[in-house]
Amino acid sequence: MLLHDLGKYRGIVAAITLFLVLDTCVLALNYFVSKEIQQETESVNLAGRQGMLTQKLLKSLYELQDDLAVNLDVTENFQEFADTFGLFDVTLVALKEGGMVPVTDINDTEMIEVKPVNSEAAMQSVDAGLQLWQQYREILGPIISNGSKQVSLLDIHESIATVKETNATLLKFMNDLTRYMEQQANEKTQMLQYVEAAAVLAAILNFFVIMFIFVGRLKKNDEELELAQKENSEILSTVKEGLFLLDQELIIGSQYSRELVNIFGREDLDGKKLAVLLKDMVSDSELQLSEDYIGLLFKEHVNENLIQSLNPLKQIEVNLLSSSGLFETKYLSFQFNRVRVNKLVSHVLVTVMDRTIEVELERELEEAKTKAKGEVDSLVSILSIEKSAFIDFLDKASDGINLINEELKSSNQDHQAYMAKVVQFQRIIHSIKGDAAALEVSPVEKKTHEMEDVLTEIKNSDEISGNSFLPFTVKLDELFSQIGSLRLLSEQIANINDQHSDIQPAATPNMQSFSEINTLVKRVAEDENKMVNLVTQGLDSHHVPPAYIRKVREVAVQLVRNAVVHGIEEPNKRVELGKSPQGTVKALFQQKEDGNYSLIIVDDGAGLSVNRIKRHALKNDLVSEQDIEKMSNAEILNLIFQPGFSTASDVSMHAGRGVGLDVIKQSVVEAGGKMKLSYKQNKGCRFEIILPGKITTTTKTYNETEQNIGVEQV
Amino acid sequence: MKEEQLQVFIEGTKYFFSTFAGQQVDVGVPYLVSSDTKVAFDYTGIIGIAGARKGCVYFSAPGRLLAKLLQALGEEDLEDDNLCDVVGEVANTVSGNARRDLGPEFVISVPVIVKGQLEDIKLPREIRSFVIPITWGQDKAALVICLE
Repeated sequence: MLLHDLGKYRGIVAAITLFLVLDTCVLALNYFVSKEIQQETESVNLAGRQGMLTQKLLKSLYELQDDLAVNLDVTENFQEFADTFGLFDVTLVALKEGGMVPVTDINDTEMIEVKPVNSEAAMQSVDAGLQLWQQYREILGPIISNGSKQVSLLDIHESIATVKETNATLLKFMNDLTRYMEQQANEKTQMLQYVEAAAVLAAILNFFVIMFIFVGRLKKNDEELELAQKENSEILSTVKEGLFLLDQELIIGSQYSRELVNIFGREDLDGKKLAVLLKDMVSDSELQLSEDYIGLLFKEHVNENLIQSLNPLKQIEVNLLSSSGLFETKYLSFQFNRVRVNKLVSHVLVTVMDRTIEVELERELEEAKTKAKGEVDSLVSILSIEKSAFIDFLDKASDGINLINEELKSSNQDHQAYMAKVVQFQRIIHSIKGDAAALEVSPVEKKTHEMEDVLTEIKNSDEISGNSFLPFTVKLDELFSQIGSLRLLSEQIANINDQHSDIQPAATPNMQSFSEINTLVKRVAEDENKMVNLVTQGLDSHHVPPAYIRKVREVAVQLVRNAVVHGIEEPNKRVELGKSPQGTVKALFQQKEDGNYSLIIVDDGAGLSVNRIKRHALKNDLVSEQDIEKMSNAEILNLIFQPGFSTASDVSMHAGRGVGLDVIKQSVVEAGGKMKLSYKQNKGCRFEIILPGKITTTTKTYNETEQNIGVEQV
Repeated sequence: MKEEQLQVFIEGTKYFFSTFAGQQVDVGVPYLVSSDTKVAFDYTGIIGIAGARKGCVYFSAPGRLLAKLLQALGEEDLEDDNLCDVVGEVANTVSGNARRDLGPEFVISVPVIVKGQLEDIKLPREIRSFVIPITWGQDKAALVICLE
């Protein structure tokens, strides 16, 4: 490993290496110096021995002299004298020039190497010794070379004289030499001690450098690493995207954001293949495409930006099944980015974003836009309607829907019962339609019209089963939603109005309560291609007691509409009959002298035709042929109050459903009122509704009650 | 469209009884309940719906009906587990039928079986469920369809 690869560990490795090198050097120095010291110690010993040898030489000369004096065998002492001379000579030469010296005596085969002395003082001693020793060689050398046989007492005397004279000096030189060499050895030992002490000091310094600087640095690094890891994990646990790395084998890395767990609802992602994560979320072909796409990202020559549009997981809808059995739909967006290390793609970073809220908001916005388009009509009508009238309408419609739903729920399973339900529903729906038409709430008017279609279809089918009502229930649900959103809309408008309460409505509420009748007449007349003039009197909240407002409006709406649809003729027909092309409908409300209230609706239209009523009743199976023959005109006229009766030849938005008068009858009767009908052929029709002056409140709007209707022909 | 979708679930239920149990069911008049009202008998098989429309469809029946159904299917063991299984079978047939007829834009799950009340199901407040009363012999059950 190269030093620059070590990064932050470079310093500590260098320090440790320095420590080792230093240690090795000290050890090596120690080894060599110790070896030198050992040699020098040996040399010191040898030098010391030289001193001893000078004394031994003199001693051996005296012993030789003694032997010769008493004429003893001199061989042994001569040999010792010669050996001593030899050993001293070899050693001294070796100390000067270097060489091998026997360890114990001259005959010893074991040798030690002696290096020449190198200090100046020692050299002087050796040189002085050698100079002196030269005399010894000259005097003693020939004696030794002649051998023990030739030795004479005289020679020995002379030798002793010379040796005795110089021996002390030679001894001194040798002792000096010994001292100098000892001194040199001591110096080296001391130097070694210093070097070792310095090395120990350096090692300690090095240790502290490692301890304080590098350990500190490592500790700091560790802290930084720990902090980085902490930050990393904080980021991963906080980030709102699912983040993870994929390697070339498409295996998920060990670190991923917390959000990923939330998105996929599973913890065990580490080391799993991407396919495992996406299983059950995308189709096999999508998975294959995704894997191919990621494979492309690992190819260096492919331009990342160019292939972004190929990402098959840019936005996917994922349905995750919860434990309760319901699906949780999520919209996920996957983004893949290359991660480069040393300029090569090492991983792909995957970012998963949960776009559910955005997508749902977009969708809601889209729905709201569509809805808003549909609501504009409603909005316009709501804005032009007096608030209480509109709330009344919504309440009544809701009551009707709930009643129908209750009836649906409690249905008995037989044809007759079903038939009765259909008739009941027709009446309720027709009434809601009438109100909607009067208030110009066209979506509701349209929906209720569709519902009437469905009911007619049910009624005309041969066999009515529970399932026959399915299309009706579906439409009922839709009506439910419509009324709900209208209520919401009106509440929103009310809120806006509350916020801008300084803005006064254009018309006074009192007058507004019945103003929709005017609108209704105009619209129905237009639709029916008729010309109608509506005259109202007393139809306002000054005259109509609050408790009757809803009822009077309901009845007036139905009767005025009937007058326009069924009574007033088309303009050319009227002209043929010598009437003005414009018909007149009057709606008058007043309190009579007896305290009762009277609502009169008069038109100058066609009046009623007994024959037409007869024909229609027979056609619609309201009565049998035999029965009708026995019926009086008044009884026949009463048939128009039967549920299911209608005389308009075509079914249109405004008439022909066979409900209408029965609803009015119902409404009047339940308020304890009476209804009078008079007519004259081609002259017109007059309805008078008498409501009691003493008001009785009723809660059930759609109940069947006894008939209390009078019809008279004028 | 909506009516046809509802009809698919009804047909699935009818198909199960007429094909496997040998006796047809009577389908009652459908009515509406608010989404927080759960029409539940003793055992309920729920299938989740996602995709084009979201919500759930469940078939709920009393134990007595399911016991008779098991007998009709030739199963003598009327233990709890088997009652759960058979309500699941009905839901499964409804699910399969819907998968076949409603096309790929509908995602339809396999059934989840719930015993007792259906408190865990949370449906959007503003929508209503269609309740289709089902009568089989003397016993009553219900198919409930709740779709946004």
